[in-house]
Amino acid sequence: MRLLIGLTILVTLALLASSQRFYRWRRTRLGAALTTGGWLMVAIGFAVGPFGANFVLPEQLLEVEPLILFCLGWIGLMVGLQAHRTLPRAVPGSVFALTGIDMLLSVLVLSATTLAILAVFDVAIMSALPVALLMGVFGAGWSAEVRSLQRRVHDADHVMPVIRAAAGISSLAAVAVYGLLFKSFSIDMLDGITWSAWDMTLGVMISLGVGMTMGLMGKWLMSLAGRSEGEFLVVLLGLVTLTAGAAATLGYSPLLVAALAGAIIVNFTGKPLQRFQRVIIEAEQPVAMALMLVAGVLADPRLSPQAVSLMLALVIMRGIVKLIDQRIIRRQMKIQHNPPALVGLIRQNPLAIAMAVGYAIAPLGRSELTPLSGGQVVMIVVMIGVMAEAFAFLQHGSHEQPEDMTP
Amino acid sequence: MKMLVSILLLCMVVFGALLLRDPGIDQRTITALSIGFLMLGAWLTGRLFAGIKLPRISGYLLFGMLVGPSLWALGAESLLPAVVLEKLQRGTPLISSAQVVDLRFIKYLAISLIAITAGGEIHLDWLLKQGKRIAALTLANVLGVAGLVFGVCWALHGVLPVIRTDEAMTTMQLVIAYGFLGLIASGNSPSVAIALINECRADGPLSRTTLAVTVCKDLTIIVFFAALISVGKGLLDEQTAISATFLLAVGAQLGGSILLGALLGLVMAWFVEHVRGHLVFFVVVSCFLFALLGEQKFHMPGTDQHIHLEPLLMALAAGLTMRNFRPKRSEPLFKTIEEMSLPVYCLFFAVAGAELDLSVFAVASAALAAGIVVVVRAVGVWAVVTWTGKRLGLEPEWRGKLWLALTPQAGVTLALATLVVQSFAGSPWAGALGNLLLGLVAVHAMAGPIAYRWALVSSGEAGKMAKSGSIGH
Repeated sequence: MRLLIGLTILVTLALLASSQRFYRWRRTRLGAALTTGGWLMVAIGFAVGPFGANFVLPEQLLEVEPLILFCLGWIGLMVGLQAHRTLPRAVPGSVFALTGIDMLLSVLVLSATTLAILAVFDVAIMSALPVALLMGVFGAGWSAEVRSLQRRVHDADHVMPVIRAAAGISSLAAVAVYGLLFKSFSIDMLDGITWSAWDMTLGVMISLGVGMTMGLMGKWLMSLAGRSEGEFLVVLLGLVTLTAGAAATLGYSPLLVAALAGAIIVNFTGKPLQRFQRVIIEAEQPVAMALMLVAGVLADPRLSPQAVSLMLALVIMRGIVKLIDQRIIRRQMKIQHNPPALVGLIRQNPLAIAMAVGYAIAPLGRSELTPLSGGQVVMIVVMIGVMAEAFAFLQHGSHEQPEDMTP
Repeated sequence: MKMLVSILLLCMVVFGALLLRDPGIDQRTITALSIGFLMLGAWLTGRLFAGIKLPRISGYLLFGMLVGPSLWALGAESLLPAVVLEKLQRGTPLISSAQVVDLRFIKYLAISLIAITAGGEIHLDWLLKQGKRIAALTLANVLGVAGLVFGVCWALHGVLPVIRTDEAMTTMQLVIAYGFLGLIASGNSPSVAIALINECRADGPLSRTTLAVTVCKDLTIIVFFAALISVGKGLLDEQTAISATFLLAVGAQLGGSILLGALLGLVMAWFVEHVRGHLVFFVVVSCFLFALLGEQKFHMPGTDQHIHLEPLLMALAAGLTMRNFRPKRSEPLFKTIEEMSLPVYCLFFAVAGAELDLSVFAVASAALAAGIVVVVRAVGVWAVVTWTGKRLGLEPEWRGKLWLALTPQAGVTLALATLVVQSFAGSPWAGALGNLLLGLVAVHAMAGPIAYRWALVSSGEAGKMAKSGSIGH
């Protein structure tokens, strides 16, 4: 009965969220800040979850694990569709350099920070390593959403494409590194957490194999579906579910395998590609909304002192990494002062939430051998995102706003 | 050939994933793989069937049956080498029994969606005009077919018992057991009806009559079934008296489901008018809500009875209310449902196929008993429809084909069969009756759609549906 009430509340909230009044509110600065990152959905999920009204429990959510995997597969496919063969020619080398440096710095600095903080609390390095590396990946990149900044800042128009392109490439890189780490660590009740280079290599090979098979199968099935909308939908839904399900069954990252399938589809599919991309992108909002809700329900706020210290340290260190990124962009573009749009670099990539959810439902996230539970990892990622968003909101607000505020 | 190669490739991919599965993951994780596999595999098999002029849904059902646990249990595993079998023990067969249970959730969602469509296909003005015909056909079918199956099986029991038990059955047990057999045998499948009408884009008196009779038969059978359970328990179990409150609860259950469904239909129409966007998401959440409501138990004040709402009836009433009372507002919703229908049908019928139990055909005597009931049911449906049709003055162009359209069975019949087994779990005959019923559903689920499609095509109604997708428009 509680689940039913919870769902009824969610439907009612969805109804309110679709009203004209809410739509107008979304166009205000505060409304845009809350809704663009999906934080409102996370808050709603948290409110109906076990630490809110207790209408929906994480165990009940895990009953619909196939649906969560489907959402992850969808997001992965969407990321993979960006990997068109023309990408290296279309995007300047400086953007690739920026993305590479950001990924390297994030993984090194944030992972080292996590290891150091956990070491202070006597956590063994091997136990802390998976969480540390993942925290590094979660902190990489930034939100590709720049419209809310662009409306007000005309002078930074030339910075926006760089921010957007780098965000897209860093999503691809984050999914790849995350997928690499996903299967490198194994849990054993006797040996604890172990790392194996062989598992990692095998993981890459199998993920590549499965992703390519699914991509080629998708291309073949799309050609069979022809022009029929219904048959096309069967292929799309079936392919996403099969890809994510196969990856999860094998113990690999659904995000990575689906992204690889997406990359194959975008490079080898002819005419049906546009329709495929249109449907995938059209459903982005509901899928992201669903994942944010799930993150809200899964988030566990019972953070130990070590987790709170870690969260605060990560916020600071991530901020420093992004300041370095800002300097790199300024140098690359030969800009003297920080244009307000560069505040956008501080905002967390929404993909981090999807990756955290993927980790929380995977065997590693559910294991008791890791220093932080999957729910706590989700909570930390959400909190870092919220704090980054708040900082960006305040920073951006402090700049003069000479432009017309009406949309 | 393309389809066969694709199906084989798909099976190989899933087979490989199951062979190499991570030992740390649980059953639910594999369910995502199963959903994708069933959806794509059923779609490909359906296309294969369409190529040889057979209904696509028979293809969906067959695919589910082939990869499901039942055929595996009958010995399909002996075709594989021992080494592979040893590895597969963690995940046999491609779709295991545990996964079929997990997939039921998807099935409930799909039932709600199909029922909303079915409700949306019923036009009250047409139904009211045809009320007498529909009522007569429904009652004649239920009573006639159930009576004939009951009578023949009863008469044969001494010579060739259709329900075999280790110990002899009392007269009262025989009455109750064959009563259930007759009643459930008279049932049809609204989901098959709606799926085939959509597949053939059929419209005309045969399609409309079949759909209306099928839905009304379902309602009638559910009422009779509830009454028979109450009476049966009272007669067979000395501790359970036949209670009037139980029958009252059944009434409240049906009436409550219809009323709440109608109310939800109005809410949905209002929502569609005011929201307009994300209708796919809205439809899925609504169907989830229907499925969840069906799982709740509500206490009936002043009695010791609990009632639970019927998702099928609720969704049907919601669809009917939207189509008849808010037609313009709800049109975008029906359009969205129509767009979503193919993946839903593929998944729903493939899961239904995987659920079918073929074990009854492994024993010759049981298979013979099932064969007898299939023949008696077919004769009964033909005789009743022909006789009633003539009396009601149905047009001869389609009257002769109506009985074929009333042969398919699927979801509701399966649910009723499971309920009988659960309700009389201690009785020696319940298991045997359950197996027999599951076997019957397997035959009618496979052969029924073929007969129905033939009836729709030969009556000339196939391809007559207007582009709006609604019968009678």
